[in-house]
Amino acid sequence: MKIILSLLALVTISTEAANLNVPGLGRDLNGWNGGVASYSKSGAVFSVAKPTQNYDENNNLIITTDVRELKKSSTVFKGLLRVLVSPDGTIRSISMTGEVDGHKFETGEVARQESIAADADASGEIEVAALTPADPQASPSQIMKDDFEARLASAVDRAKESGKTVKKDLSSWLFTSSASIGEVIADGTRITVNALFNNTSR
Amino acid sequence: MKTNILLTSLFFVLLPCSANEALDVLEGNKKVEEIDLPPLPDDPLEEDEKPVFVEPGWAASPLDPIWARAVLFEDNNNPWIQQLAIMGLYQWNGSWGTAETEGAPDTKIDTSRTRRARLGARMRIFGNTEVEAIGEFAGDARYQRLETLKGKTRVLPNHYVEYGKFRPQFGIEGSKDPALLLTPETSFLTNMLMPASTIGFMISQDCEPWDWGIGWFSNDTDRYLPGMRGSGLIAANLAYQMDEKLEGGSVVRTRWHLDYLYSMDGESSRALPRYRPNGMVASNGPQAVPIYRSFRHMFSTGVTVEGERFAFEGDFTLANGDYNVWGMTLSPSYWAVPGMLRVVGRYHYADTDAMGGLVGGLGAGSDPYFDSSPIFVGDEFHSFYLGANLHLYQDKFILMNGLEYSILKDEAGASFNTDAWIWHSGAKLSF
Repeated sequence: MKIILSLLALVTISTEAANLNVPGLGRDLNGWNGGVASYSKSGAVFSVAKPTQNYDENNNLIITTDVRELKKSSTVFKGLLRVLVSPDGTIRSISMTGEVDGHKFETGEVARQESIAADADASGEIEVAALTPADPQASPSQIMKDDFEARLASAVDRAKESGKTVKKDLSSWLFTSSASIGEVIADGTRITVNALFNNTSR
Repeated sequence: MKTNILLTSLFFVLLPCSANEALDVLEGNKKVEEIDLPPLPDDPLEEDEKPVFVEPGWAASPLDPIWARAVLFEDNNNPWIQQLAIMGLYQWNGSWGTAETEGAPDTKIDTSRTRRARLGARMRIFGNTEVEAIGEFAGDARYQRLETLKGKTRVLPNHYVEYGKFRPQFGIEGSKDPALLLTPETSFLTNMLMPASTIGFMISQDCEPWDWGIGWFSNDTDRYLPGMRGSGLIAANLAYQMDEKLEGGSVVRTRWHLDYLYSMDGESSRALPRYRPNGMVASNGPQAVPIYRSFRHMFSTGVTVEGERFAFEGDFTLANGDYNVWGMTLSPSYWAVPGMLRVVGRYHYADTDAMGGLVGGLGAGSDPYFDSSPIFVGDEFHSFYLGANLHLYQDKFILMNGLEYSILKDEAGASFNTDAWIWHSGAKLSF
């Protein structure tokens, strides 16, 4: 009996894994429509594809999804958002690669601060999250999201800017914010990241 | 061991040197520092990278969804119709000034008018054809017309056939979509030599960096659908385009073009020129417009340079027939505020070897074909224009203002030389 119970416990532990509530994610992003959810933020319109979920050898959940922003009049942004979730449902790292106006960008992997010591032995290659969070009361998740947003804004602006001038007509100058394209993209992508955080659990 | 390491190091240092120099170093006759090594080759990857001019995009605007409504249908996967869109252009022009004529009364050219009111549609069909229809509703009865009804089919990769009613391509200003013109009016010689919109066809190929086209057009003209008249016009175009990187790292695009029109019908052509002011009375004089003869050969060659903020158009035109006219247009422009405020200049020169061979208008009535605005005759023309365009929404909603100084000499005629200071204002809305 004890052996059976131990085996059962072992199976339970070994199959313990995080998962993503895809319907819930869709609800947070205005609903799935043919496998894509769309929302607008700061004058930009974002579309997010239904994520794919895979598990690695350590039972970590790897979520990947396409995020795009297609404004016919200016920037063409497409990126692949990758989120690593540990079996207990905690998001451990976020990264994004993609293109903006044909120029490639990548944010690097932004890791949850408390996971650095555990993962450094394994790979030694995890990017260090911001060591000095702006708000000492902020949770590790908040710090990770803020750092990812900052890195994404910077990476997009660097990729887009290769000496290229953007023309801003009077209507754009009067009625849109002075935020850079990177800030707009990062601000919009944050909504997807928040939705992923809210719908990932064990 | 240490000797081996030293010799190996010396070997790699001396590798790019000549054999004699290497021996000198090894024998102790020379020091390594005394040898001039050849320069490193340039990065081969950097040399092979071809510069590409990318026109700066427009920042997002709250007016984007409004203008996007012009596209009624778009589906690139549909095998029949890929896109259906409406097109339109409304342009209002005003000009204020006085044409002062020596030995004759001055002519007031204060006027404002709806210069262009166009409405049409375009379709992309079958994956390889674009169809366009545009009607012009401004101007006199003869000016109001079916401006364009044409199709363009891609028959092979980069090979096209264009057919229907459209204007042969000639010159930079004459070939440009009126919505994209930088000045309120086209230049004196462009208005005078512009061929009519008539039926014909063009075969063209775009084989970067060259592109060429050759075609035939009828010499008939009609408000709706011209017929086949006479032997027609032959039209030929050739262009070369290149992108080059400047020292500062920015890329500019340069496009050279050569256009040729040959009218096989001479005086009986109705398409070239578009209008015949024979017997009309010019406003500088008054004097009768000399019998206006036709042109057989017309050439236009020029260059367009475009950078991120600076652009330049230079065009030289020559028309040969019963008499000759020639001229050039130089038009620089600069984005003082990229996307919002563009400073535009233009110098235009026209000349002829015939008395009263130059016929045209001034101010908002520059195009005598448009309506019955005052016309002027002379034999040498200079015009200086400086203005600024305020872009309210991209290139689609623009306010234009500028000052022009024009000189029309009449030395070969009765010396009714005319000059005018003209203020231009205009607004253009297109979709």
